[in-house]
Amino acid sequence: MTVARAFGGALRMHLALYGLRVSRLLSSLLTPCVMAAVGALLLGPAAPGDALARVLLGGGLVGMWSAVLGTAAFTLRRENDWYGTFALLVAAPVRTSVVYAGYLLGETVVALSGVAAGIAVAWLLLGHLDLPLTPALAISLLVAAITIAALGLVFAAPMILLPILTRWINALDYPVWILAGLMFPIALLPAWSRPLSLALAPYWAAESVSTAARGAPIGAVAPQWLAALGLAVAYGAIAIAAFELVLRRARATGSLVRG
Amino acid sequence: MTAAIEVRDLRRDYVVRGGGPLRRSRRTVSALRGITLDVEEGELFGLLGPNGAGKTTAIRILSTLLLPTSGTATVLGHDVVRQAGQVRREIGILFGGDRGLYGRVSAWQNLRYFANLYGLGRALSDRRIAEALRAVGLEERAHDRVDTYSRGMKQRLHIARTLIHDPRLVFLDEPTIGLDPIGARELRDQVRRLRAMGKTILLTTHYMFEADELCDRIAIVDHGRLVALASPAELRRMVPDLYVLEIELEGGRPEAVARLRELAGPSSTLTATDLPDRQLVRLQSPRGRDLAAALPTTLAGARVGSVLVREPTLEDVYVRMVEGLPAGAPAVEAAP
Repeated sequence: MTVARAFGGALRMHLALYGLRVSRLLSSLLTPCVMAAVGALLLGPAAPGDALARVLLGGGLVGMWSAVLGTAAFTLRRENDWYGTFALLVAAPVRTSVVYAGYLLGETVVALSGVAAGIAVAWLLLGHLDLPLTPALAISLLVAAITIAALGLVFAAPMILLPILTRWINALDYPVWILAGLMFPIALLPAWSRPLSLALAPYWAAESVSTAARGAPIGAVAPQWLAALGLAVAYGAIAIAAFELVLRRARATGSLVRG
Repeated sequence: MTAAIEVRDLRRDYVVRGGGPLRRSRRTVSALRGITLDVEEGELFGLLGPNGAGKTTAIRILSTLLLPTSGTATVLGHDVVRQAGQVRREIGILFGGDRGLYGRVSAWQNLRYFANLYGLGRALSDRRIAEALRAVGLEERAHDRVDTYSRGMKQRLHIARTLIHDPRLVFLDEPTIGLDPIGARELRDQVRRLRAMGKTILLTTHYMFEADELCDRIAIVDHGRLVALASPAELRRMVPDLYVLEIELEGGRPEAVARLRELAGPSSTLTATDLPDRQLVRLQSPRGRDLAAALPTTLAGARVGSVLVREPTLEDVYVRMVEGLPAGAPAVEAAP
């Protein structure tokens, strides 16, 4: 219960600090809307649903991953340098990884609203949309949000110990969304990269989004959800251990609290 | 009484790296050099010392934010290294300054968040938030953004945040730093209330009168060592051989201060404070040296505002302890 409260509190605080700010919301909504508009106008009303789904949903997932990676990287700066609250978070009885998980999932909530806005824009421009808005698709997007947040959590831990890694987030951004096939199928990638893709939880989530966007029933998508969520749980376990290790190391070196 | 905090031979070294990419240097700096002390339950204990003395390092170790290099420390019976989780549940921390709050959201949202982090249910946290805001006089501004608060209000909100989970022990690290006199007085009142609530409090401060006014016992630390540990009254009695001469010189008269310094000699400590239109010179001198008798000659030609001979305050004791003892001298402790 304590963990659930802390997680929910962190998610709400993240939304209150950033997600619900007009400037931030505009950037989170505007980019997917512009991408959706360009995609819809380029592909036109005769475009097959699969192609448009790749643009609308894949683009949304790419944006979600970038936003989550950014939050994983800059949370330390926000809490330590801007608000001076990082020490208080670490000194709370709940694991710091739970707080980060709340922040990262909060970020995906904002990104999901961008996906929804992009779909609405495409529908308005084209007059119709060959995209089955089914429960399977909604659940697939939620699963994608969870897997992307879980992967972000794994990346967040080392950035606490080595803030210099935050300078390399662009280098971490592209390989993940390319390997996870968020924007285009991994069949286009060399064969040697296939095992890496299969080990990425967002790959299975993106596959489920693609499958659901083709109108597949829940039964056909469920195995992909299970694979995605199974890997996400493994990521969660790795992240918890990594956070404990990193925070212990930071307590030992004295780098936990600046100033 | 039982000990709320037990510190035994606590030491903390930092490795400081420097130099360029080719020639790296590495040296070890000791922030704490083997401190031993106990804080009783319900006690308001002060940790005094100059900048870099090791006060904040001690608080960071006790609040589980830093690991000691050697030695042990327990807080409410829990080891700060091996049982950090249990320690965290029972302590509250307040760092000085106006950081440590989310400025873009309201006081209520700040407190709600910290209540969530400590696992408080909604009904309990609603009640605690309302009580805490009332206790610090912020209930009318509860839903205003924190970045619209004055510094004093933010510090009071810090107190409310520290209390939200009803900790048994509270660390206050220079809580009045940067506050105006009225804000600082309000905060000292809040600290007294915490004490009345039965909380054990470990307070660090630079302000001697604050420690004198609030603390049951005070530990003076310098260069990472414990220099003295006693009640404020006992500390004052530790320098029975000392008296203080305060002289107000009107206008800037550096030559007069130089002559006073000469008069003071090595056995007395002189501090000069510049005030807007005058200078306050304070001479701490061993009893038996009648410096006052020599003043008419020493200050001939200088405009003297006032001369006061008085008993030492805690600040005088502190200056004597910190400046008058060689580094590494053993701690002075009041007789039980």
